[in-house]
Amino acid sequence: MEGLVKRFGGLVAVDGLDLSVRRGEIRGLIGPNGAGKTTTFNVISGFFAPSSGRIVYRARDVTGLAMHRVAAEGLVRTFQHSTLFLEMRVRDNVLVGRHLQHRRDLFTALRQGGAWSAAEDRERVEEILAFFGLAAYGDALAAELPYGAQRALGMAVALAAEPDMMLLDEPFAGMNPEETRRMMELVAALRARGITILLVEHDMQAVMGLCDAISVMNFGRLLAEGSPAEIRRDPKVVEAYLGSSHHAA
Amino acid sequence: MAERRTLGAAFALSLVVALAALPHLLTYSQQEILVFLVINVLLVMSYRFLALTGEWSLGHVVMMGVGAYASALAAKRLGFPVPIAMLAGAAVSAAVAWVLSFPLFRMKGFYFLIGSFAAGEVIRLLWKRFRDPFGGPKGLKRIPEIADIEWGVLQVDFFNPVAYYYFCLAVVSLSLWLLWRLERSSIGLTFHAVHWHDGLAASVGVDTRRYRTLALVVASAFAGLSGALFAHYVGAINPTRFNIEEMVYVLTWAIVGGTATFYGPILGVVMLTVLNEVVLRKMGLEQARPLVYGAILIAFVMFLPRGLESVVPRLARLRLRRPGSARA
Repeated sequence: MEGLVKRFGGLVAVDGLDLSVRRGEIRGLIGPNGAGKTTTFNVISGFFAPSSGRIVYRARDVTGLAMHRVAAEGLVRTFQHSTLFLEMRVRDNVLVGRHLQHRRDLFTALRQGGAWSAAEDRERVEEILAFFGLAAYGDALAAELPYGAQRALGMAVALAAEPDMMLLDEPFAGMNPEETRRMMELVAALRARGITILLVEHDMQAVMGLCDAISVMNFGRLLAEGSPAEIRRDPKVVEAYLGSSHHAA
Repeated sequence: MAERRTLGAAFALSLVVALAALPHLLTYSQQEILVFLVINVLLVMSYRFLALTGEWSLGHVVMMGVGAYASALAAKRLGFPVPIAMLAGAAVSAAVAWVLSFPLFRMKGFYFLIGSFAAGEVIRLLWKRFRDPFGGPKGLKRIPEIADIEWGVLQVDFFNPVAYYYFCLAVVSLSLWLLWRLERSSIGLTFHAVHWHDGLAASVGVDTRRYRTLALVVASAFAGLSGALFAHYVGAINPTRFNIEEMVYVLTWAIVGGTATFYGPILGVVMLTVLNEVVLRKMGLEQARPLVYGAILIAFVMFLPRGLESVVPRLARLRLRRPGSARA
């Protein structure tokens, strides 16, 4: 990602950001409120088009592609909070995630009718549900799940699309310590499956414990980049979060 | 399971027998109403198909009109055999919907609703403005009916409402079966996904615009087919027949019946037609139809927002609770 800029009217939310994520790593993107993290995230995933700059994924230019096209490139995002198909069954939520794995046209659909997902899809959906500890909930409505399970389901939907890279938008937001610990295990397990992860997060402890590398944003720019240990010691980062040192003193 | 299947088969069989016997129990004018009812079932079911994606249109009756005009002109001007003309009508309706989808699906929700109304009015004004070929405000007359069949013993005159009823019943049943298959397929699931959260659907690769367009085009094709069935039975159509008042009736059927289930809108259109033709007509209150429909619409939105379909499972539970009655 090079020289990414996103303006909203006169407001420059992301101002010339350069960021590169290595294949197979867990990268954290942190920063104080209003630093432009979520905007960056939305631009990468195709939710917004950037005002200028370029996004390259696996040597392909994905700048400004619509979200479904970005997903087709293997780059799938999750959303904050309980963004799910709340009125649909848990299993069907994950089945929707399989969208890219199907041939879909009217005539195939007519021929298949209700039997379309009988074979390998069902199997894969059950496998994904089991992976996220949701196997018992398959027939429940997504709206009925406890919060932690809903967040896991959000990731299950994304994983069903078989991404090479996942963008996780505040995966630990609003979670209690137990749920956070579970979620950290899940994210680590996703990486173990070979999925590259970029996550935006406020929960410092989770980010420090999980990420291989961390990028810190402030006022739309990259402030620092490095391993968790380096970031923790970086005076610029401390200043951005706690105010400048002589004010604090 | 086996018992359920037997019950289902028995229900289907009795439904077929009832539908086949029905016209013979009615007067001539009631038979005509029955024909319109079957056509309206297709209209409201195609409307529900669009509503699966969460978009509500106010132009659907105009799409019915597009099919009616196209089919009538194809038969009258181009000399197509009527059944072929009807298919052509559905195809034209689908094509017009596809073209309209480009401006319309830059909007969604309330804006789409208003946009679809505006687009429909533009089409209606074109019918009014261009006397050739649309006949202007007076519309088209002397639309050919389906040619009589005379194959030895088998003689069918499609001007007879009973014969036309059977023809419509066959066409509509086949159409509903196709809509049912589509809804139960992966495409149907994707429609639901687009409805409940289009952003999330897009994040896993669903081209939401494309699926909205698909729903609109398929729904319009079947609406157009219903219009063609209408045109070749009545023999005359005009722009007023497809105005917003008719659209409000379709909305009322859909809302009163409910759109969550496949049978909901059918319940709605059947109940309201019976109410309209039997009760209101008997009482001499047909003129009050818009008033009564309006009152019913408000009452349903306030007291039964999920429609008549939401009453059915409750009735079924009541029956099961009474011992012995379930198998009666």
